[in-house]
Amino acid sequence: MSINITVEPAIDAVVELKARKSLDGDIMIFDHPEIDIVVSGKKNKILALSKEQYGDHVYATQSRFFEFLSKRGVIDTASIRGGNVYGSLEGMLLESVSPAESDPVQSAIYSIAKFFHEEAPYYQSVQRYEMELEQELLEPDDEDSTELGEVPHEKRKGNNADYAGYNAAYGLYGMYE
Amino acid sequence: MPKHNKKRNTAFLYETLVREVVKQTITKDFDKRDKAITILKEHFTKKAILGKELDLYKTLSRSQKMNPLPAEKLIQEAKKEYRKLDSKEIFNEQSTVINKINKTLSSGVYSNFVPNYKDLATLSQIFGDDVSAKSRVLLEEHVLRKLTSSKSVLKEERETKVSKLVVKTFVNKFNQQYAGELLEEQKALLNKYVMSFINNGVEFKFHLNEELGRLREKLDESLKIEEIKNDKQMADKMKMIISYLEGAGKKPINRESLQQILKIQTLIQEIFGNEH
Repeated sequence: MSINITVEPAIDAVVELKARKSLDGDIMIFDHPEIDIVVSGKKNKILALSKEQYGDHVYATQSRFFEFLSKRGVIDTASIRGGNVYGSLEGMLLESVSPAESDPVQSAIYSIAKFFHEEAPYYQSVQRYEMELEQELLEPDDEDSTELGEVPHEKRKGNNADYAGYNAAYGLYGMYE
Repeated sequence: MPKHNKKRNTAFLYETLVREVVKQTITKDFDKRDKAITILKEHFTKKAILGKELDLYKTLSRSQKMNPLPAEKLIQEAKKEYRKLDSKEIFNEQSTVINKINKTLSSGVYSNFVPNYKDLATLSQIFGDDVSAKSRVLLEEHVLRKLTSSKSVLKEERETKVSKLVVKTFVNKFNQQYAGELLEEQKALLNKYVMSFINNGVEFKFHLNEELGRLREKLDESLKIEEIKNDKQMADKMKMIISYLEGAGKKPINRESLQQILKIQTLIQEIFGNEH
C-alpha cells in the first residue's frame, strides 16, 4: 500500500508594524521612536529619515539600522550613503536570485521588524525611566513630600542675602541677617 | 440628533473662561482677566451646582487607560450622579454666567479655541435627555473608547484628523490658482508638501529625496551640453546650482528652499524640453 504525503508550503512569517502604503506602492514604517523608514520596491531602496530630532543619536540609530540590514543580506553595503534630504540615510535593496521564493521588499520588511524587536528593550527602558522620573516628580512618596498648604512660607526664601534691606540705608548691610 | 448648544455646556463655559484668563494675561488686560477669574470663582467652586456638574464632565473627559468594564460602570455612575443634580438650577446658573460673560467680558469669549470641544459636546449630549436612545448608545461607545485608550492613541487621532472638507476646499483652490501654470513635477512636489502634515511628512521627504537626486543628475548632464560647456558663465552658474542642491541636504527643508527647488525644476524643463 502506498502512502502519499503532501508537504504544505512553509507558513509565511507575519509581522505587525505601524505602517502605511502610499499610492505609488512605497511602504512607510513608523514604529521606531527615532526614525521613519520608507521601503520602495519601485526604486529598489530603503530610506531612513529622522523623526523629530536631528543629531548624532539619530545618525547612530540609522547607522545601526543599515548595518543590521546589511549583515542580513537585505541591502547592498556599498550603496549605503546619506540621502538627499537632511537627516536621512539610504541604501539599495539587493536583488533576489529567485524572486518567486524571496521577494526583496518582503525580506526587507521582515528584517526591519527584527531590528525593531532587537532595539525595543532599550527604548522601553528609556520610556520606563522617563515615566518613573515623572512619577517621582508628580507623585513623590511620603519621604519626599509635605502636605500642601500646611507648610508656612518662610519670611525669606533661599540663602542668598545679597539684596538691600532697610539696614543697607544705614550702612549696616549684612549685619542683622 | 439635536444641535449642541455650547453656551449651555458647563464644561465648555469653564474651559473657555480659563482660556480667556490666559488670553487676557498675555495681552495684559488685567481688568478683564480679573472679571473672568471672578466669574470662575463665583460659579465653579466645588459646592456650586456648576462646579458639581463640571466635576462629572472632568471624570469622564480626563480618565484614560481604563479597563472596559470599570469604564462602562463609570459612565453609568456619572449619568446617575448627573440626574441627581437640579437641571433647573443648572439652567439658571448657566444663564447667570452667560449674562455676566456678555455684559462684563464679551461674546467673543465663546469663540476661544477649546481643543477638546468635541468631547465636551459628546458628554453634554450623553448627560442630556434630548438625544435619542440609539444616538446616546453610539455616543457612549465613543466615550468608552476614549476612556479605554491610551494617551498616545488619542494624540495620534487628534493629529491626523483633518476634515475632508478642508482638504477638498484647499485642493480646489490650489487647482484654480495653479492649473496650467505648473509643471507636472512641480505639482507633484507641492502636492506632497501641502499634504506633509500626514505621516510626519515621510511621503514628502521621500519624494523630495528622489526629486533632488533627479535634479542633480540632470544638472550634471546639462554640463555636458555644448551650449553650456562652451559658455563659461553658464557653466559656472550651473555649478553654483549643483552646489546649492548639495547644500539642500545639509539643513531641514523650509519654504525658501522649496521655492528654489521649484525654480530649478523649471530650469531643467527649459534645458531639456518636454522630456519628462
